Amino acid sequence: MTAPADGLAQAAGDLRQAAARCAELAHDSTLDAPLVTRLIERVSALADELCWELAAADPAGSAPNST
Amino acid sequence: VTLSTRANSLWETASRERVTALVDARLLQVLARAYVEVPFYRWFYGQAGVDPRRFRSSDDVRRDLPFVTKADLLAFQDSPEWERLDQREVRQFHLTSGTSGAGREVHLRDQRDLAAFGTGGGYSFVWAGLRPGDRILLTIPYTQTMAGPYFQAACEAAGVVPVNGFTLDSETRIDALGRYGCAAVSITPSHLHRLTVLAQQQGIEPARDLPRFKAVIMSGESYGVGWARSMEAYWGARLHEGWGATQTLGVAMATCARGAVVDGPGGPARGTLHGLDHRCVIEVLDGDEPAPPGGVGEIVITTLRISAMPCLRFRMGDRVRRRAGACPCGATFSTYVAASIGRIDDMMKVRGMNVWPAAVDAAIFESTAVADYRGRLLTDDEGREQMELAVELRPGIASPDELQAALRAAVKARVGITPTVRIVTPGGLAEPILAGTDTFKARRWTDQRLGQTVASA
Repeated sequence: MTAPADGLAQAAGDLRQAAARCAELAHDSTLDAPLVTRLIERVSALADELCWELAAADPAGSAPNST
Repeated sequence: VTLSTRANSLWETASRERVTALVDARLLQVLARAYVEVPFYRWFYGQAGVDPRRFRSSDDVRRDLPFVTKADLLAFQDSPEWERLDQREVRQFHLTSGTSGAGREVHLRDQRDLAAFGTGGGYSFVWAGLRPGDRILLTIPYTQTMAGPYFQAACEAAGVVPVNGFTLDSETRIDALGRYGCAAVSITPSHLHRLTVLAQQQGIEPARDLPRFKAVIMSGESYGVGWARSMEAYWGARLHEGWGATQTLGVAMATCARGAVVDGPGGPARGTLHGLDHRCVIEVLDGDEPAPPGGVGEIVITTLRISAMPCLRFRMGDRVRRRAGACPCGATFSTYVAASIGRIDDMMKVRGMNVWPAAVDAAIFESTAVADYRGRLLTDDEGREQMELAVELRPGIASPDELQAALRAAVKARVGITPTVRIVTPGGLAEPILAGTDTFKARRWTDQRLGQTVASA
């Protein structure tokens, strides 16, 4: 485990949280933009996948809790 | 190819202890989530009287979690529960091929599955030495099964550019390798053999005509080591192998950078398949017990990265040989012997299609004129896979020409392949081979393709 990988895992977790926040905002708003909603869905799913591929570097072991 | 080729060194070289700890934790999460959120598992474990949320360790899982089979998935699809499924989160669905005659499994996919779709194949491609921008000729058919979209997703995961050769004939595929500067081809061993024969007939010298070509990624069938080396010698490329299925969302095992065939102390030897252990738990079971290192058993998979329809302790019906030791490549992933994967039942792969001898039996024995038959699979001088049937008639049967045509048509209708049929007079066939000392199941088939000579089915 290396320090850069630890930082990467942390940043990927932040990305996932940001995607979740985007989903909340899109859900709560009156935005009429289904393609934006889809982009958020796709980014969120990719953030999950990124977190999992980085899970071996995650010292807190938090990345597996993605689903 | 250097031995340092890695797709993700974070997992590939992590200690076994760390991988095991993370996978075990994830396994329990996946089981609990599946029981609560995936209708099939609520139905299946409910019927079995099992609540996987009570499991505390992977040992509990291996001891007490019931196996899932194709029959279970098909039974659920036939139940009223299936009709009531909420499919609003479904983004794709993939069917199994259905050539067993038992029915086609439907595997629903959500957005998380699509994000995870190509990663396994991405490992395979990177281990084969492919890099972003390299081009690969795809020859596996793009239909309602998973294969087509899967290979596209694997390309995207690895940054490899797909050259879609699904609908091209063999000659045009050879042309495409050069025209588009392909670095690789994804192909079944039998079709690689066919392309090789054609390319040699056309006078193609890969070293001169295909300067970028460096990897062949095979799947779907077994092959001989000598044959594999001859392919490498001609194409000037390393042969690789991947194994996966609809139930695993693509590749779950692949050969590392050393390839499908390696230099052994006594000559060419089978390479090593590595399990993507952080994405799919692979059990190799002899009966219901783990096969020892070096032993052969059925592949039972538990997927960790599938969301909509995970497969949990799913009996694949494929067998593999475990490798006794670690791989010199240094990866800590589990190890299996390349080209050791086959069916535990009697299914045969012919021209990329699943063929069950029982289906051929049904076609042949529909005719009351037939006493018995023997089947042989072979590779002809043109590199084509052929199915040859020697059919013994009952005494007193006339009109063998009409019967030949009728039997060819009947087999074609049942299994999708037209065999050659040779009529043998009564008493002309040898006794069938028996499958073992504990069974009287007759083996009517011999497989003589690609340097293999094995009795089967």
